[in-house]
Amino acid sequence: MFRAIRPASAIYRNHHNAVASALYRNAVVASPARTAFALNMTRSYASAGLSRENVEKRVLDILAGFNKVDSNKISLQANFNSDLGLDSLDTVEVVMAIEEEFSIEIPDKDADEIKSAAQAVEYVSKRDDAQ
Amino acid sequence: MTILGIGIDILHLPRLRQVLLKHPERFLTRILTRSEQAEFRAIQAKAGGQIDHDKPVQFLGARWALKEACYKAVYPHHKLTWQDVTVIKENGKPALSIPEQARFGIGKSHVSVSHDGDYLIGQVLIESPSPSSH
Repeated sequence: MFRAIRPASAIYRNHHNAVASALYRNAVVASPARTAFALNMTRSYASAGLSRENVEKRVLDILAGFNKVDSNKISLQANFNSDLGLDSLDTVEVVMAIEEEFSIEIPDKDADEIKSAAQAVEYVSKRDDAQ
Repeated sequence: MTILGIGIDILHLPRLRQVLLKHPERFLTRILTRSEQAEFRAIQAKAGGQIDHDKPVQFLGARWALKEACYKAVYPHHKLTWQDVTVIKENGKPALSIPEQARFGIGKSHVSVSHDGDYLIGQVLIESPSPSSH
């Protein structure tokens, strides 16, 4: 049930985030007033500052959802490839699942550097639009 | 002619199909460039709109395997991303378009794809840039 309704709301939130962050980017080079407005926008849509624990748990849960992954081997430091036996297709899937879970879009360059849960947690924690 | 590298990638298409069904939008925008996405949609439309029809899945699979093979051929000279490479057809044969190849320091590419049932394999050979061609 929960899973089934999730994608729609994720898309909805993504849309607003995109608008808010676009405004934010514009505002940085524009006036302080617009910056304040944009920051408010961001704040109202993103729950800025997810706790580390929250992010860690959700990332580890995503990994646990992969049938291929031996749950005994899951840890923050485990490398997706060498420790968990995930190949490039699995890793792309993990990154897409993280995008969906936190309602963010991860650019290619950043996605390529996410090779463990710890690196994913690190990345998501830096994204203040993560939900 | 100096060879910079070769790369190969084998793919079990049912796995690709599963990922595609789970992330029908994002998987395409991650792997395919804009022109490839348009081609994919045209092939999907021809296949009755079904995203997991064999034709669109094979189209995506060939691009996945060739881009992976190309990445391996060029690594560690340069780290390519999905959007750096577009698979095109030249005289009915697949070929690679890498608009920024001069900046990446890579030369001509040669590619080959083979299918057998659920499996697809892509191979890429990359030349070093030759002084005469740029």
